[in-house]
Amino acid sequence: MVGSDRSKAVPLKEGLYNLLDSGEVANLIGSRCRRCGESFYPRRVVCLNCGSRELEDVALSRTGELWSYTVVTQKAPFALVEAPYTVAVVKLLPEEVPVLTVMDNCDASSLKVGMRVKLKTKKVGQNAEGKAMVAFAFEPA
Amino acid sequence: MKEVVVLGVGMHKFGRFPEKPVSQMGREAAFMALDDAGVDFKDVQAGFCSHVHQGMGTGLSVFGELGQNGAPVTNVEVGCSAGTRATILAAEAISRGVYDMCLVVGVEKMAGGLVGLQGAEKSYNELMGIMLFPVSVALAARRHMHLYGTTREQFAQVTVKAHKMARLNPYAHYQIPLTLEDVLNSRVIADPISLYECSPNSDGASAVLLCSKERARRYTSKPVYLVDWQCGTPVYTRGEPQLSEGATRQLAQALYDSSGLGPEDFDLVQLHDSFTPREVMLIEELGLCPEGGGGPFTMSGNTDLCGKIPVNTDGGLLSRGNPLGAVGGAMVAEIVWQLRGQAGQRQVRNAKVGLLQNSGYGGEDIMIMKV
Repeated sequence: MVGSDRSKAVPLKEGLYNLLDSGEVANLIGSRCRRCGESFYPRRVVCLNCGSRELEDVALSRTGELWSYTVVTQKAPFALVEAPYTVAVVKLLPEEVPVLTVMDNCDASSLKVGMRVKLKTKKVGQNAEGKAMVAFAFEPA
Repeated sequence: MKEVVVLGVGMHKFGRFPEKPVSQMGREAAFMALDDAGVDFKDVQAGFCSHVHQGMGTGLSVFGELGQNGAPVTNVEVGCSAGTRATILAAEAISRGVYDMCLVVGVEKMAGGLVGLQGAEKSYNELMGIMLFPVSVALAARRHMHLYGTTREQFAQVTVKAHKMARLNPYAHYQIPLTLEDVLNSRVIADPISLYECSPNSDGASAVLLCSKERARRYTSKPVYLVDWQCGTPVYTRGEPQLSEGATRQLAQALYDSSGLGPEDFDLVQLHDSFTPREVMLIEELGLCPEGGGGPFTMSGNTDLCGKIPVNTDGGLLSRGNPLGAVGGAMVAEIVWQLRGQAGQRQVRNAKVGLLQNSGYGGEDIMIMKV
């Protein structure tokens, strides 16, 4: 699920995305309902659509479209991301799963609702053992 | 089912009162409501205390200030909806004949800064700075602009209107006028939302005394009725992310169906304007204007004091203030004063029916009051 112990990188939080040995984010981890096929991010135990508890982990699509975005100009307390930064809701395709995410490599004037975006790796500092802490972001495709 | 009357309401001014304990603010609001109704605390059969951040035993300490009459006291927490949910719980109990007389007291003292960041373990979304109330509203606002052509100015007009109303409300936190330019030039928090488009952190208290129609006859010949109510959380919908933060559309429809009343019957509306785009979206979700038309509807003055349907005549969360647990009671109080003709300079002429919508981090409440 996550990078091996030899990896120089660790995920900021476990269970949300898979890391390659290189420390790059491979994909977001979602849940898919075995009964009705609905997908979710982040993972969950019960299907919100049909109530089934038979959900399986799935590697979600790395691409989607920009549903909405905002440029945040004030740093949030505890946040590892410096202001200003862009927050977006991305609708992953074809699953149609919404993901709340930081958007990188963009300025607000270049963003358009509906544009194609893709998953990227975002380093957000180091942990106590000196390993890079890795999060994810999206960027224009 | 017994009919429910709001017999008395009270407020402690909203603002910053760092030296004043919540029990004292709650006591002042509670005595105002009891005196408003002409009821002695010994006749209160059950107490509900709404608050969010005040901790264990708050209800007991607030009601302990009023006396010791043996009534059960229950703490209620539903984020900003705590006060309206406590009112609904009391109304449910009265309508089913469990009690004849209940007192709801809402209290809150707020820390500064952004709401919702308490707690030790930080989630991924918190560490990434993406789980913040203004951010989630800004995302919905940008989507609304994309879908319907809504403008920043139209959102900003909500807080200009709110500040105009609050100048006429002695209990409001901010009684200062704002121009559209003031709002548009204020510091951007999460675009398109600027500082004056966020409700302030306020301290304060409110109180609502409810009783059965039969019991109310002893005290008044012109009761304000709490006619009907709905509360809930959103039902999952497939596919498209939702603009609404709550279940407003569904709850409003259920309320209109069960009460036989609808948007054309309301003389005024109180709703949860935590951020300016929320009001624009809520007036659509409540059916006060066409879907997608909330921006122009606001900009052309329809929600002003003399407009087609006055919204948040007390200044709303944006200017009256937002002490979480006390907000619901303040909304009830404003409608009661309006329906009794006691709203002074901000009185809506000939107001007979009021709609109240309140969203909280935990659920949503909606209710109708009339004389």
